[in-house]
This record gives sequence, C-alpha cells and structure tokens, in this order.
Amino acid sequence: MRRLCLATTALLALACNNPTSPAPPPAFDRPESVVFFCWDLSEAAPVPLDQCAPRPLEGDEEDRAEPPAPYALHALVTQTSTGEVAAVRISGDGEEEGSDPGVIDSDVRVPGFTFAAVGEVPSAMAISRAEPDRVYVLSRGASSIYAVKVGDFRDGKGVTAEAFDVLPAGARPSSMVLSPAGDALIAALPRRGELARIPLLGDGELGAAELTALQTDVPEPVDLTLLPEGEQPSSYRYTCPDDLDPFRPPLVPPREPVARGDAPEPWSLLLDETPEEPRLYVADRALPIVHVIDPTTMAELAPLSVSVPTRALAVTPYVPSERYPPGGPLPEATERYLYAIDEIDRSVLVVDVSDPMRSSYGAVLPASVAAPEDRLAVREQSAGGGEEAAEAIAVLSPDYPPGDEPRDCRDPDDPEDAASGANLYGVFLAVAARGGSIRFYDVYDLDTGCRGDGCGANADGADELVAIGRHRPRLGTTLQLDETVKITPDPAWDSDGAGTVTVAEDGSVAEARFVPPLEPLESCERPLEQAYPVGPAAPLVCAVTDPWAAAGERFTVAYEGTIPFTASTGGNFVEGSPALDLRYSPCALGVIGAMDVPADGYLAGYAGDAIAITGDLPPSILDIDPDDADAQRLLDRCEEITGRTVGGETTPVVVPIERASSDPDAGVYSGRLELGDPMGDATLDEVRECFPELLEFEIRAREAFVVRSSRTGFTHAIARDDDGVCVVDPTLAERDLRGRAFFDSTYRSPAIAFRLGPRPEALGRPRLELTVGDIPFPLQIDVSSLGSGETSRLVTLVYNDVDDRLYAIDQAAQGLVRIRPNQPTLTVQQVFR
Amino acid sequence: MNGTSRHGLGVLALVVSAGLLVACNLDQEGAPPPPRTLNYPIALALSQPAEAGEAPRHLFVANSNFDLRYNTGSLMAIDLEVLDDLVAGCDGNADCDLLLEDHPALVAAEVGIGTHADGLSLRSDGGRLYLPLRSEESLAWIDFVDDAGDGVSFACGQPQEVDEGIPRCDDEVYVAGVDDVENERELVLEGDPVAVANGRLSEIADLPDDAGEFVLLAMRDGRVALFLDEGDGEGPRLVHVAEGFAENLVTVTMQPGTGVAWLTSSTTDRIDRVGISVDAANPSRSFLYDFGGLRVGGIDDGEDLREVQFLAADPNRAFVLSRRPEAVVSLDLARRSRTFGEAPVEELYEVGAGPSRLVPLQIDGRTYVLASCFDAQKLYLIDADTGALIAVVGGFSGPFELVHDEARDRVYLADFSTSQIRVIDLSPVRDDGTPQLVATIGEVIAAGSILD
Repeated sequence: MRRLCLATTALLALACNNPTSPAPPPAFDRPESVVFFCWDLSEAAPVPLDQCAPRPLEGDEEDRAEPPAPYALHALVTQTSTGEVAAVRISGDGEEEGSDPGVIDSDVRVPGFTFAAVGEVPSAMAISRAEPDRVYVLSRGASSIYAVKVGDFRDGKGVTAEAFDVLPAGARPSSMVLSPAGDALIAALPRRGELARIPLLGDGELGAAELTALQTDVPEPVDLTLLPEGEQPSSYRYTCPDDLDPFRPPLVPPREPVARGDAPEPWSLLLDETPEEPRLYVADRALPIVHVIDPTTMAELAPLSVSVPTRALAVTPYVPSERYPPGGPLPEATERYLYAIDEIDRSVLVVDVSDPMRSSYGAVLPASVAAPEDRLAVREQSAGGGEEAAEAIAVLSPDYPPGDEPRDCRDPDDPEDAASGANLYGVFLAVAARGGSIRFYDVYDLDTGCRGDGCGANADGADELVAIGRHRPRLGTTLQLDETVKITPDPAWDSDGAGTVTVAEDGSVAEARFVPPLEPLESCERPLEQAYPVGPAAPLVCAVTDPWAAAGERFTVAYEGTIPFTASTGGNFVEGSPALDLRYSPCALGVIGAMDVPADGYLAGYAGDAIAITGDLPPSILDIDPDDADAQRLLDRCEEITGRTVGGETTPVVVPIERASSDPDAGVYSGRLELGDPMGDATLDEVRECFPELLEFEIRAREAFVVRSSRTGFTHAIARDDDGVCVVDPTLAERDLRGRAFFDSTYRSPAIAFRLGPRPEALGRPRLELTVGDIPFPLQIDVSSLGSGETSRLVTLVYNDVDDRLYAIDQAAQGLVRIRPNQPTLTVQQVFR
Repeated sequence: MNGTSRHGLGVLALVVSAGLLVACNLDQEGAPPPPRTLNYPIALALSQPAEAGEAPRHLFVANSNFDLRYNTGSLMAIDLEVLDDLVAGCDGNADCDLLLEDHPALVAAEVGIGTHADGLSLRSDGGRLYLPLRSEESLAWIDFVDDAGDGVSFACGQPQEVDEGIPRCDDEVYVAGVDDVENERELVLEGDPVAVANGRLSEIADLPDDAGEFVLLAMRDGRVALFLDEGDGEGPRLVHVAEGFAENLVTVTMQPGTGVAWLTSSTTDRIDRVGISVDAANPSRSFLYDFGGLRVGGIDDGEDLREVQFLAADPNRAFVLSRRPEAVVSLDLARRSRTFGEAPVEELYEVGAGPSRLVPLQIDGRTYVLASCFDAQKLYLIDADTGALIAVVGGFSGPFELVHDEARDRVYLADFSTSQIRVIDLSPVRDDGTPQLVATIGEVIAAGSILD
C-alpha cells in the first residue's frame, strides 16, 4: 500500500503537482477476542449488561435483539496487530442520527477511526457484567495488564489505558477471566505452568500477582467400559419415526494418556459459575488433564483426566436426560458436559461433568459410531478440503432454560419459522473450524415436540425424518422418509470388454464373462447397515447409514489397480541385488510383498503386490549408434520385453514384490523393494539391463482389487516393523483397515461391506463404483463464503446470553460476525470489521 | 481490497511510472548506479564466518534496480564490523540513520550485476554468490574474494569500469544457452528466474566433499533448472531442466539432509517438491524429478504460498508463509497427515497483510518465527513454542527479505520501498521484550524521486 501511495503520488505530480493522498481509514487488524458491555445512551455511562436484554418484539418485527431505549449493546474487540482495543456498537436501528451499529471512533479529534492503545498483542479481556466501569486487557506481548475506563470509548476524546506490570517477566500470559466475586483477575501463564491471581484494589488499581503452580499428576482416566449399566451416562436422543433406531456410539476404553511435555502449560480458562461452588477449568496444552480450580481460594481440585492435552473448553448448563415434553415443563436438569479441543489433532471431545459423586464423572464420553468413537463426528471436510481441525468452541443456549409458559411450535407452514434443524432453541455446541466453517452439535433441543410429521405437534409436513442426538451433528435439513442413506446410483462396473455393467438388485450382472457379480451378505453387522438394495432383498452392499455419521463418498474397487501415490519416476535398481530403491516409504503407502503376507486374516493367501514399469525405454537404450551391434541386440530384446511399438507405446512390465521395506534414516532412498521374477518370459536381469536409469513405475495389487474411497483414500493396516519390513500391524488390522478385495470373498471396512463373486473368464481390469448418497446435511455456517473471495481464519467463538447471539471472530477477513441462531433460522445477522 | 491486490496495484503503478520515464528516451544507455547506493534491495545473505560459531563479517545485498533508475542493479557487501561500531555509537537510539555517503566504510565491495535480481544464495564454502537475474533470464554467479588484510572484492569476469559509477560484471557471469550446457541434452535456459537454492553435492550423494555444488534455479512458469558447480574456477553448468511444477513459483528451499527442494507458488495451495538425482559416476547426467507435492489443506484456502523454511534445530518442523489466509502455517513433518498428500498442518499464526518472507530461529532454546509483511509494513514475531503471536514491529515502509545474524542477535531486513536496510535487535526478546529497530542503513529513495 505504501508503494501504491508513492506511485500514485508520483503520477499526480506529473499531472498537477498535487502530492496529497488520503489516509486509509483504520479498520480491524487481526482481531482476536471480544467482550460485551451495555451503554446507557441518555446517561452516557456503562450499565449492567443485563440492561441490554432485548425488548419484546412488536407485531411482525424482525428479531434483531434490540435493547429497550435508552440502551445499546456494545462490544470491545482486541486488535493484535496494532496493539489496540476497538469499540463496536452492536445494536441500533439506524433510524436516528448516530444510532447506526458499527465501529466507534474513540477520538473524534483525529481523522479516521481511533482505537485504544493497550500494549503489545492484546490477547484477552475481562469486564464485570454488573459493574462494567473498566475493562482489563491482557497483553501477551508485554506480559502486562492494562485497565481502560469503558466510558472513554464513547466520549470521543481518546482513550488512555493504564499499564500494570504485575505479572512475572517473560510470562507471556494467554488467557484471563474475572473472579466470580469480581475482586480479582485470574490469568494463565503457560511458560511458567502457573495461574496468577491479581487482586482488584478499587479505582482501577491492581495488586501484586499471587501465583499458583499447577499440578503435574495424571490420574487414571475413567473407564466407562468397567461401569455397570446403571452407572453409565444417559444417552439422550429423539427420532421420528420412533422406530428409527440409529446405532449408538459404542463404549470404548479410555485412550492411553499422552503428554506434550513434563510441565503444565495452562492455555485457556473457563469460569463455570453454574454450580453452587464456582469452578475454574484450565485447558493444559502439555499435560493430558483439565485442571479444576476453586476460583475463590485458588486451590486445585482433582483434575479431569482426558488422555490428551487440550487447548479450548466450553461447558453446558445443566440439561435434562429426558426429552423436553410438548408444552413443557422442563424435566429436572441433571446432566452437564465439558467440551474440549484436543491439542494434538484438534478434534473435539466431551466429558461428563454432571456430578462429582457419579462414577462416570470426568469420563470422556462416546460420541461417534465410527472410529474415533470418543470424538465428536466430523461429517464434512473443510471448505477447501483437507482436515477439519477445530479452532474454537462455544456452547449456545438460546431460550434456555425455557420459561414457565408453554412453548408453541410457531408457524409450521412458514418454512423459515417452523421448527427445523436450522432453527436452534435449546442447548447446542458450536465448533469453529480452521477452514472457516462453524458446525453445530445437539445437546438439548426444546423443539422436539414440534419436529417430525406424525410425531410432533404442528410439525412441518416436509419434516418426516428426524434424528436428534446428544453430541451428534445437528442435521440442518428436513428429510422425507424415502430419503434414507443408500447406494445411489445403483452399483456399476466399468469394464474394458463390456463397458458399463449395472449390478442388479439380486447381485447378478448382464456381462458375467467380464465382471464378477455381487453376492448377498448374511448380515451387515453394525454400525454398517443395508445400503443396497433398499427393501426386503438380502443386502449386497452395507454402509454407514446412521444419519449423523453417514458420509457422502464414492468407493472405487479396481482389479489390479494402482495403489495410490505409488506412481513415481524415482526408482533405482540396486547394483548387484534384485532390489529397487524408492524415494518414499512403501510401508506408509500400504505396500506388502509376498514373503510378508500373514498366514491368517483377510490378506492370507494374497500373492503380494507388484511393480508395473510404465515408462518408455530410456534414451541410453533407444538412442544407439546404428553400427553398434550389441546395442542393437539389446534394444531389440528390450522392445520385445516391453512390447514396444513403432509409435513408442509400451506394455508395462510387471514384476512381483517379494518384500517391501523402508528406512527413514537412509536419506533420499528411504524405501526398498525386493523383487521376484517378472511376469512373462523376461528375467529380472534383462529388465534391469533395459532400464539402467531411473525407473518410471507404479505399484499395483496382484490378482486382487484395490479399494479406494473418495473421502478416506486407500486404507490399510500395513506398517513398518522394527526391522523396517512392511508387515500387517495387528492393531490396525483389528480396526478392519482393508485396502484390497478378492474374488469369492467378503470385503469389510469400517465404512462399507460387499462380497465379490467368482473370477470371470475374460478378466481385464474392471472397476466397480459404489457411491453412498442421499446424505442429510449437517447444519453449518461457512464464514469463508461471506464477502467476495476473501479468505477466513476463525479464532474465537463467544455466546452472549444477553442477546442470544453467537459471535465469531474471523481474524483474516470478516472481523466480528454476529450470528442469530433462530427466528427465522440460523443466519449471519451482522458483520463488523 | 485485500493486501495482494494493493500490492499488485502498487507494483503496477510503479512500473507504469518507470515505463513513462523510460519511454522519454529509449536510446540512452542509462546512468550507472553511483557508488554506495541502495536501490530497491530485494535479497540478502550473510557471509560465511571465518570459523564456525563466529559472527559473519559481511551482509550481501542484491539491489534490484526495480524502478530502472539506473542501467543495472548491484551486489553490495556491507561490513558488519563497521556497522557494529556505528550502532554502538548510536547508543540504542532508534533514529540511528546511517547514510552510506557519510559512512563509506560500511560498503566493503560492490559491483553492477544487471537488473531485477530476485534472490541471493551463498555457495557452501562462502566463496561464490548465485543470483537469479530476471533481466538476463539467467543465473548469475559472482565470486567473493577476501584478501586478508587487503579488503574484499567481487570477481566476475572482467568488470567494466564505468565513469562515476560502480564497475559492472561482464556477461561471462550469466549462465544461459547451449554454451553453458554440460551434457548432450542441448538444454536452453528460458523463462523468468525467481529463486535460487544450492548445497553441497556430497550432502545428497556418495561423493567427496570437494565434488562441488548443486544449484537450483526456479522459473516463474513452473520449471526448475539444475546446475552443477565444480568450484574449479569455472562457472556452474546447466545439466537439467524439469518442467510441470506449479506456475507462478515464488521460492525454492532445500529440505535439510535430503536432495529435495520445496517450491511455493502464489496460485496454488500445493507445495511442489523437486528431487535431485545425482549420477555419482557421471554428475553431468544428474537430473531433477518430481518428488510429489503436499497440499496445505484444511485452511481457507491456502492458494497463495510465499515461502517454506525448515527449522535447523528440528528437521521435522517446517513453516510455510501463506497469503490466503495471511498466516504462518507450521508443519509437523514427523506426524503423518490423515490424508496422504496433505501437509501435516500443526498450527496457524496470524500475521499482517502481504506476508512476504519468514525466518525461523531459536533464542534461548525457544523457537520463534519472524515474518515480514509488505502491505502491513510490519514485522511479526511468533513464539512457536508457546503457540502465539507475541510482538509486532512497525515503522517500515516495505519490509521484504530478512536474514538472521545469530551471533549478533540481530535481523537485517530489506525495506524495499525506501531502499534501506533495517537493523533489528532481537536481544530484548530474551527478556520478554520486543525486537527493537536499532539502525537504518541508506538514504530513502522513494518512487517520487525517480522524477528527479
């Protein structure tokens, strides 16, 4: 921009010698955290936040969560790049001058917008809900705390922040909350493994920090599989029709605890004021525990042992274990849950924190039908593809707890207002993903009485199929009964000899000479269920049809297909050895040689993989001196081996693999294949002689099918053993990670099962396609799709229970995003940037 | 308008301005750059210390002559010991402006090299520099001669002496075309060279330490050229050109301990990788091959990557500079990604608009990353161990290339827009402080002054 200004100046100088250029207006610059306050417009003073609770709607007025006059809801947003805090007016109808929502200029004497300077990289803020005179800002860069008078943000005369160096030098604090009594700040010091309690002395003065070292003991995690049925956590769900019986997430033993270091690294703080005795939960990025602190005494209580380090937390209010009955009242609310982001892989886990007296207290709960069962299911990949890593989480609870008045079902004939998956009343979890989307999970839905045609009262007629389950993805669309998950279109082979051959509902194929039939399976074995054909006929294909777990994906079953990512131009025959060196690890890609096929298990009897040399003969063989008889003889033989035509086309030379191995320390050539005799009449020595330079090749299954998913790729149980040899890992094999299918055998993986018939007589390299379709869409907001092509990076989610809005901070593009959870449906209401 | 667009417009405006000026008199040979003139510095490198662990003596600066103000760009060696004395004399004053006119001893050597250099790399023995030269569509090589006691100089053929200007290298130092091709492949070097990387052949093949150097030259259109430099007094020889990598390449970086280079492109989220296959028996038959790419997935949307750097202390840790979103992406190479072909993304750290270059470094055993952000006009410091941005250093005009002088606890930053070199002290970071600008080398040459 600087150069643009300079160049613009230069061009203007050529034209009229007027070098002035307007200064660009300040805007959000890498916002990170947000807090709220309520402003009394008549008194020009901050007032308790609850004063900004929305006034009742009038008639058909749109729900904009407008506070009653003379109040206006405001937010403060940290700007990490500039070291500032910006004030934003959230509410306002814009009908009167100065009532527009938007960013506030804190110093009208300076052109453009002025924010409050608060030190290097402000990372967190704390403000009293009841007495919001000052906001305290934590500076991660300066390891300081700044106090700012809230009124200064609105008086237009500039904001002065007072710095307090009360934290230990080099602490680099990460998070801060106000104590329940409002008499102290509590900050997390990850570098020191401590919490700091900083007393508020009145008039904005801060006392010296009192430090509390966090414990390092890691208790045994609670093992739900050892608890009797009566002590298991409740398993709440609602389905319509009520005989719909989706698979329940199975109980699994807790993971072996994994730490990222020896010392605690407290990262984020969550103050829970719901129980009679408030608790402070502390996410630890190093140790596999969530610390539990009494925020009054700063005494550390027994931690929650969750097996992995965590980086962010969210807790629900107490919710009932039973469905909300039509018309109410609310059953006794006895359950509550702590959600956490796994620091290692950024998945989300849920912990039972209902009652410390229960044996399931502190257990990581099952939440998915497919592995990993102890993590919330992620149905979709990120907007840009790739891993859907969680960046932030928040619990939202619009209209919860409900009042004493019976809830109505609103207007079932109004698609926008009717109870639906996209209309959130109750308790839900929101998860912001690194790719820019926010997805939602059910905890407790107050609308179940209005959902499902034939089940709920006044339900939308299009809302026939309903599935709502605790900790399961919120389904965002209305579904018809015939829209169940299934294989669609019908399974079909692609064959060289016969073109496209569809598999009939009895498994037969019209061109049985070229492609095998599918044979009926005895049963599907949950979590797989019948996916083709739909109806009473015996299952030919089983897949995950659970509405919360099913994923749209296409399976390709290719005879002697290429193992993905094995095609390379980097093979090098080893001097004096029947081996080929590779520039990748064949074990990681799932390659196995004939010598290492196990005696039992689904690979028993497998012939092992093979390399197929796909490249042309190298120039040193082709470009010969015509008078060199030896070279000509070699060329003739090589052309014979490769079936090389005058046009230069070759037939791949296939060489079985006896053993595959890898050595990560071997440098560039980290993989090795020991080869057997080539197929056909050539010897391995002849092949080596024909390909003296780097080899262009790929690795294929031999006399077997390669099964590949569009979603999970080629799954396999091959791993490197202690000697570097590629072998079947029994632990992975137990998870049915299978990448190869065989004639007259049943193929079964965690995602699909089918059985191939006998080998046809005229076998080429046929390919079967199985597509799992009719998938219900999970509810999601894609912040990355807002605006015009700007990229998003979500870093924060905050639910404000005063205006019942979810706020997301998109650091890269959109700034502060205000999301309305209902009425009419989940939608982005405003963006401030 | 996002940072990239603003950057693009800025460049366009400058080029138009420069073009208007050039159009006035196309026949003139142009003025040579006066001695001791920084002119749009684009690339930096530190000299080889005399002994391991010692401080480097010189900072090499490639001046791009971006505005075509002169008839050539230049290569300059800044004497860091002279700089040390001058910085000490400023006593921590941030207004320590060191004009080269006032401190001629700062420039130990300089030579004209052609316009629009776009990178700078030092041979492993410290005796030669390689530069991608866009004006010549070639790789330039210039020897750095340290005559103990008699100062230092650049040797590049028979430099042409120029009245009132610095001497200019002759064309022998530009490698291109059939004459410089080592083998029978009849290669021709074509395209727009944008980045260079090099290393010892003995590090990637079973060859003796004196076998020489390999040099990779990345071309904007997705081609990479392999040169071998046997260090025998001759220049590097072109032995292979590999094609088909992503277009709009920006940087090429060698992965330590492997014969694999990582390529970033401004139009894709895929990091292409090129492998070097060394024929130990006949190195001239060595060649490049496609090592396969890694996609930086799971972010929105990663389709503009500017640089990859590996952490010297931990070869399993790499950092990628992304402009979509504007962030430093850390990779854990020891962790297998859930999807093969995906880069194992570990963490994202926010930086400012127009991120351009990055340097990972260690201070007191902690890992930090510095990222220059051209459009934000700031330098961002990330504590990669704590996992957070911890400082933002402002006061620049167009921060671009940067190098870390570990022995002096400093970073040298090329401020492209004002044609200055900024000297930044990292020692406050040891005490929980913020990096401090301690000196600025050179006089401001802004775009407006091309009208002079």
